[in-house]
Amino acid sequence: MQLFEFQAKKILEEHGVPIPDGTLVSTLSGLRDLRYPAMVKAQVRSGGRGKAGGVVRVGDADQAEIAASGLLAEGLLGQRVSKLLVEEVIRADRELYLAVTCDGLRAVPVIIAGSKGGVEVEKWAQEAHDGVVRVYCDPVCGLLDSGVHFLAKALSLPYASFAPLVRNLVDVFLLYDAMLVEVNPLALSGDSLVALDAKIELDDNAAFRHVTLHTHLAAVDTASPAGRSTEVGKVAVVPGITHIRLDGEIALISDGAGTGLLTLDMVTDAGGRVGSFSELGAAAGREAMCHALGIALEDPQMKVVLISLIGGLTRMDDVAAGIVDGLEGAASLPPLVIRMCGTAEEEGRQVLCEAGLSSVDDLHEAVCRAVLLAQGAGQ
Amino acid sequence: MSVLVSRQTRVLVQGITGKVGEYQTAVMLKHGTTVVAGVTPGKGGAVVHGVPVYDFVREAVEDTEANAAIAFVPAVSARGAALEAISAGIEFAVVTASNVPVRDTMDILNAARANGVRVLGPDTPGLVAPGLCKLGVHPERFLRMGTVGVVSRSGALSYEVCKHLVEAGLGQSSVVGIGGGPLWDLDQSDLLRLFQADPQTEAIVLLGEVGGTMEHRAAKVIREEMNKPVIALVVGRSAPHGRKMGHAGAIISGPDETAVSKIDALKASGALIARNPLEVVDHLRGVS
Repeated sequence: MQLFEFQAKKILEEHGVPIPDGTLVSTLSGLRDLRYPAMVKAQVRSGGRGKAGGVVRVGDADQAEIAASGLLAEGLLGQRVSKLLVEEVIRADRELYLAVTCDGLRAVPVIIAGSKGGVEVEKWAQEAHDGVVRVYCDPVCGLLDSGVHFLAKALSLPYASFAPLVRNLVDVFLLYDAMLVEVNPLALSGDSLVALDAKIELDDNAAFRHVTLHTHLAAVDTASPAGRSTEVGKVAVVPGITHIRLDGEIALISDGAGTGLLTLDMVTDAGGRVGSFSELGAAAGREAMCHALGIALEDPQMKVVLISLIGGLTRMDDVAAGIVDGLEGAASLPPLVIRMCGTAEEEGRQVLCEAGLSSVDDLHEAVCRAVLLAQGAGQ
Repeated sequence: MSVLVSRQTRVLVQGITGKVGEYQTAVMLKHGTTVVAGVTPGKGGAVVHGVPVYDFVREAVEDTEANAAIAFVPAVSARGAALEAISAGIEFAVVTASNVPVRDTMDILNAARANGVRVLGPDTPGLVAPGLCKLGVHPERFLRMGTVGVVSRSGALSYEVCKHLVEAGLGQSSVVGIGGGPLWDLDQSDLLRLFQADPQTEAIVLLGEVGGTMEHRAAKVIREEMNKPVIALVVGRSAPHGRKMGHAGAIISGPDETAVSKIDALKASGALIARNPLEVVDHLRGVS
């Protein structure tokens, strides 16, 4: 789960990272009595906010009201804007990039730093890789003093203000089970460092360790209705299901990322188009299957449902029961193709048979059937 | 021969009294695996399918000389189970749970490296050397002793390809799931080297997917260290670009994470490229 900027900054501030003075407002009246000039920043989760006009410098309350009313009324990058962060303007001598994430190869936190920050950092880093430095934490001792000195020297930053800041970012990364803690840009103003923007991505799998925090965040989150994404290309995660909305008419449900992607490729190679991709995960059960089928059936764009199952840990009788559950009470049924094999497959076929359903064993056959049905439905 | 396990492997099952643990223990025993002990805290003294159950891994290891462990425990318990096995002297650990937090996975992998233990997972079906030892959950119908080594990030994708192999009359030397990531101990490159060194393995099927850069490292190993044929199937060619983790994801890996860039790299390294499991079988027939 990605936090909003104001949430990320609150966490950073509590852990000693300097941030600009700011006020969170959700109505135009909240803009009166603030100090100007100021930055008005739309609180959305997308990257590319600055380029899209979500960060506006305003000279006085009137300008702030014009900027804010536009953002609140029209939203940004397809998201509703319900909160604005109004911050003091910081004069930056330099802007840098600093992030903590996990290195998959070494299995330790890695600090990534760039001597330039800002909205173009991604492009710049790919063009000039030598401007980016990495320091890996030690698995036992964490971030070493030598690593902090190395980063400070590489970035030409004053050690006295940089050392506590980078240590605090690593602390936040570990304490909150983050996948990413990113400050971009990090401003150097005189000898002090200030986090002008902040992004924290939490590890949803660790929510059980942070129940209060995650409950609170879910309550604040009004960006999209739980469980599904309607916008093309958006990813929604509900417990046990990953759902992605695409631009086609076949709803694909699979019980694993690898087999789902394989089926997606095969459908595409056969001339079909997948419009809804749901992946249940390796230990999927009845409930997840039922839920995924519900998402597919509710989508009026879907002409065919293709269920691609091959069970290891997943028991086919469990997911077959989920298919039966999901079809129960459905208003109208698009053509359904079920490919099912693997652990407890005979029991699974029995469950389907009792509900008047059948399945095929071969994936190529299932893909061809689904594509033909979709083409037939389109004519 | 096989990789990582043998007939001498003495298996301990963590979470043996759970529904999944009990079921999979029966399947592993039927496959011929030497399952010597089970562990479930608080259930010491019980017996599951003839296998004695202990409260602690250290007790089980003392009594039974178990040297490999497979854990059927939920994600919240995966770290505890793996660290217990590692500290009790187990040499090889399989962590099946998916959705294990990254921080817990870091702890598991670092403890394993510090103790010289090899790990598959989290989020793995484990491994099987058909007819010799099964330390995993692969569906039995798709397994047959043979000469093809299979390594996969995704469990289900390996079942799919193994199904096609068996239906075509081909068998496997070992089928190894390294885990769904994003962190690994044993990775594709490690398994390629093990298969290259394994006399039973005549050809290798490498199953990759979009995301990360592991396949690029595998391509280097294929080019520089291998003379056995490698057939590569990388899925996710038609997947939309996934959600990037801020800028850091792009900065770390750049544009190399797409399936297409991986396929290009593997092709350039001399691997035979398959677009689906049928083409995997075609390539295998061509090289044997």
